[in-house]
Amino acid sequence: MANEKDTWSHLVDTVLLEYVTNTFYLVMGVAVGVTSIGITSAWLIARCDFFGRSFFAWALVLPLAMPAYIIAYTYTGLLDFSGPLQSFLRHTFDWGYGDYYFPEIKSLGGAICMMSLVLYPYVYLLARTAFANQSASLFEAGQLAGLNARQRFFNISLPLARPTIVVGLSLALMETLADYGTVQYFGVNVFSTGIFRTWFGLGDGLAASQLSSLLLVVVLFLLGLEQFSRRKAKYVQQGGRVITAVKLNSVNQLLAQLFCVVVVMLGFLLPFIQLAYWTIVEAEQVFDATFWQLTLNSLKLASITALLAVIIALAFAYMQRFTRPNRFTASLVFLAGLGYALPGTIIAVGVMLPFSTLDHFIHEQAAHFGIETGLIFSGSLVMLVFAYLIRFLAVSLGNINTAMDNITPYIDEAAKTLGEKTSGIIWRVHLPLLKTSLLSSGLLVFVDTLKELPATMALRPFNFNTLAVRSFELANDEQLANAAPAVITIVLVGLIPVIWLNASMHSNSKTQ
Amino acid sequence: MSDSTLSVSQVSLVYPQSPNAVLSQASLTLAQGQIACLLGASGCGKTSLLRCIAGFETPSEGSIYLGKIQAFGEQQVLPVERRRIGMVFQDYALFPHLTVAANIGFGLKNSQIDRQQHASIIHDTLRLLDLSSEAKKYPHQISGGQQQRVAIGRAIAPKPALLLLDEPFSNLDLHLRERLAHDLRQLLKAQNITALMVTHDQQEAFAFADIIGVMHQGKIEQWGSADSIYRQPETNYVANFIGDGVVLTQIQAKALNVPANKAGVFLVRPEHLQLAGNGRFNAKIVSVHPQGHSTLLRGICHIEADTQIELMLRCNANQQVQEGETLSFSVVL
Amino acid sequence: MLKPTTLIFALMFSLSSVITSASEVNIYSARKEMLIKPLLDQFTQATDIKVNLVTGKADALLARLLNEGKLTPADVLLTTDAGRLYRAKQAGMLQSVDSSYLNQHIPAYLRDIDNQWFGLSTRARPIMYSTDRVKPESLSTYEALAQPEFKGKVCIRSSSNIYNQSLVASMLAADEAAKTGQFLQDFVKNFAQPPKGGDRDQIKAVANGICDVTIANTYYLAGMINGNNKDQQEAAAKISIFWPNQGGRGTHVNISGAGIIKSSKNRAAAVKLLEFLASEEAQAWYAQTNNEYPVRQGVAYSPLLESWGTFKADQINLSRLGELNAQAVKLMDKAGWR
Repeated sequence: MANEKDTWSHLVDTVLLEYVTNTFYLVMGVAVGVTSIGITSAWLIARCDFFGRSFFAWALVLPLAMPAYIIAYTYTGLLDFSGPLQSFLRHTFDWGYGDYYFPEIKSLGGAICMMSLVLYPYVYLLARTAFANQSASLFEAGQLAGLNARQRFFNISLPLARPTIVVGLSLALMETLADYGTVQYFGVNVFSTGIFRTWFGLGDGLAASQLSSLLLVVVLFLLGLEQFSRRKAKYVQQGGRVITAVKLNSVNQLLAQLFCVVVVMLGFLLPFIQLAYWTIVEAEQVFDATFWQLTLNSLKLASITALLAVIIALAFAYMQRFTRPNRFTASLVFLAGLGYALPGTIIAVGVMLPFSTLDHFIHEQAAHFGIETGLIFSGSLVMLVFAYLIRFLAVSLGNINTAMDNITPYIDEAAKTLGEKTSGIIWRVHLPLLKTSLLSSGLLVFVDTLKELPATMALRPFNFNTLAVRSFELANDEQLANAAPAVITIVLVGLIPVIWLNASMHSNSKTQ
Repeated sequence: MSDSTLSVSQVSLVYPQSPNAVLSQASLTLAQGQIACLLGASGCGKTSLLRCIAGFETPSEGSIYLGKIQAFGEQQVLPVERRRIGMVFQDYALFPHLTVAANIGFGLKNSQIDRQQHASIIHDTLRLLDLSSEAKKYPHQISGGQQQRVAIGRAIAPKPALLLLDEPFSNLDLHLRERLAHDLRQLLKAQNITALMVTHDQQEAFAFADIIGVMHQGKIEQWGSADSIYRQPETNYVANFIGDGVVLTQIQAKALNVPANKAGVFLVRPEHLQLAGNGRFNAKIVSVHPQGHSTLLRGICHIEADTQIELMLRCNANQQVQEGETLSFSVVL
Repeated sequence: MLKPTTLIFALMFSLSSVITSASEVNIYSARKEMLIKPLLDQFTQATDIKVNLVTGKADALLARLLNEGKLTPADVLLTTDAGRLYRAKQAGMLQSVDSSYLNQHIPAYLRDIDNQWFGLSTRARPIMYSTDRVKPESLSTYEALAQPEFKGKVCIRSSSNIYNQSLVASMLAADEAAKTGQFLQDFVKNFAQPPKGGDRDQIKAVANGICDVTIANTYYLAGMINGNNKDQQEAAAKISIFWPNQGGRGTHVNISGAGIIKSSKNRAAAVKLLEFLASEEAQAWYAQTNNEYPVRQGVAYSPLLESWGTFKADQINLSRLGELNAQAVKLMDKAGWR
């Protein structure tokens, strides 16, 4: 093992600056990407009326089902030098290498584009609801004050929606920080790739964990921002007459449609078509018996994780509702949110230690009675689900906490005066009111678990594969075409909750 | 204690972190069918007292009886859900996921009322509150006034022993409030429901209540009929707070020849001061407040060189009075 | 109605996996499932020993082994490079195996000094060049690729990749560190583009004229030739292989290999598996299916491997690659090889 101080000074001397600046540019770039796509599309859907609006309302959510590393692989296939597009250009104009400029897909910029394209729905979904529920009188006041439409957007709509937008943005950025597959494939050295390189290449776990803690500083900042914004978002909710959408003229309709088409096309349709093409034309074996087993495994893990994530988040939310605000529960919730920004492998290795310690402890205790327990949790799905929960609990926690906060304490009091006990209040009042967010957060965790790869790889039991593992094993060997059936299944299964989520948020924003 | 529906005695409420008592030694009683009102400025403790009665707050001392049952005392604290109290909240707190009918029926499941009667009680309550056509709608689909009626219906459907109302009219249009307060009073009287309302609006209180309690700084300053509160205020605070008028010092009262009331308060209201060309006193008008039917005037009356009294007077709406004008008046008590 | 708690317990129970079988062997494999499963199935057929498999990234599997310690269910660790086997040995996770069969058929330089791990296939990492643009006479050694004449003509994948780390480690083993450091400094200056993508991407880049030469593992080129992707086939057709350092230490090779876990409860079965993997039949499979070079003498190459000719392999003891890996990474960091 290398000397730890040595490694650290080596990192500082050589690559640390690159990790920091690349991570900074990546996060900034994705922030700009997801907010500009997310806010524009949310505004168009919530406030403008144009042909195809209700279709685009849900089509714009579709990229959420597309894992970032998959879209990275497919775009590389399409856009790199030997891909069909550049080949076509070369054939048509008789160009050779270096005769023309073409943006390099495998680059920092490419990584920013890929992640923006699949992560913007976080901002879109939240901003759409925020824009749709803004009170009309505020805009009338703005008009009276002489603000034009543009000024009303920047001076009224945007500031009011900002806390909600920041919540979506911080989720997207945490996903960005946790990404390993895309940056690794594109050769962009950021914190997540640097941690692995230090850990495994330099064989220095300590320096790697120091890098991880540096990453955590960024994450803590994002989390703080998120929580602060959630709290603020609570105060900004207004009732009153909700603003109606503006009918666009034909030129603007065309522009709005064009924007939505391009976004959906790039974020979903194009990669999807490519995958479908590969599935049909090139994949060697598509749907064999093991394939159904994989699908079943994936569904089982995803649904169990989603169920538990919802139950635990609900328990946290009640801990906060029924006890006076205290630092313990607050920091517990805060900590539980950290996992969302950590690469899956780090979480996997992190959960190995406590479980194996526990297993060894049980084993030694049992040995006194002449029983050999061996490993009980390590290498079992229990540990894997636990890792998933650490990774994704932030999603359900955030959603359910916000929904719980929106139930005024007077509702509870009203139920009490009507003779209802706490258990009755939970069943008859809270659960029906929380239903939408319980389902939607459960579904988000479901999709995330379905897509999750590194923790699954590291922790799964013997002879246990999932769709994500299969697709990775094929895709990583640079045979993306063969991975297509597994990938497309992930996307298709992921689509169901995504569409449902959109529908429920849509109806929600109409009724509340 | 046994014949009153509500009896609150010597209830105090102190929060550990704040030095001032929210409630101190508050006492009141309500007989079956009586309608009362706790009136006071914001922060006077009226809502806290209501919440103590409902059971949402736990007093530091005192006792609360609901009929013969002790709801709060040294020995026991009865949980909210077992107090058989109905409550109408300021923002109504309707269940957004339930229809109007289901909202009204919510408390029936936990009441002693026979299941078979539930449907007819809901039906009757809807009729009573003129909500029959809204039964299947959700709270967000109906108007604010209708929401308020649903809140009342939900509170009274399980036939509570006592109905508490926390500023129930504050979310409604100003011109509707007095009428609605009156209508609600009719309804409660017809159903023989004992009720206690909290408000900061005097008009509402007078239109609604048999008994009014004026609260100030956690204390009930006076607990009595509307008439006695107006005519015989027991403290300077009540005299100043209720209606228009000025509380005089003993010297000022003597100069104007105003007698003390039963409680020893020297109160002079505008209706006690008659404007007349040949009045005994002169007042220099400093401000004019038209109120439609009449005009309220503030004037300064010089009794002696160093004694001046600020008074409130009233004149007919058609009488033109300018600021700075001097009018003469006489005291009629 | 089913109580929610019952439901949760039922679900949790369905999660716990219990493995029981009289005769079995448990494998942690860094080789991907499709590149090992067919062989394991053959093994089960031949011996009636059940094989349980987890595939994953080598480093994560090592972390898992380390955490599970003496209770680990794993009997065999399979990796795709010597460095990780060396690391497992250093961590005391492997045990010596005294098998005359393995000793006889696996050359000494392809196994551990203490026989704690064994190479099962060789993976050569030669220079590949554009048949059109590069004369093979201009190529000689890895080190020569740092010469100014190759400026802007070299493509290679990231230094985060273990194959490159091992290659540089082999240079460190052959030469003094300062020389390797200087080589890296000059070599990086010759890159046609920042490193990105995998070995296939580098080969494609050479075929498309982005650069003239690259260093890549042979089985990637073989996969492109044998695969069903037309573009890749066309690209691969423009590439030739050059075996560097033939006058010196030989072309860098790494191995895929295996070792038996110290606490293995199925030691006999595990040894059988290793011996099976060294058998003629299994060795032929490596060569035929994945175009890796057999470690065993006298096993037929695939026609494609035949066409690339024979070469002198660097016979450095592969443990050295593991020892020198961290130093190699540091030097690459210093040189700015991303």
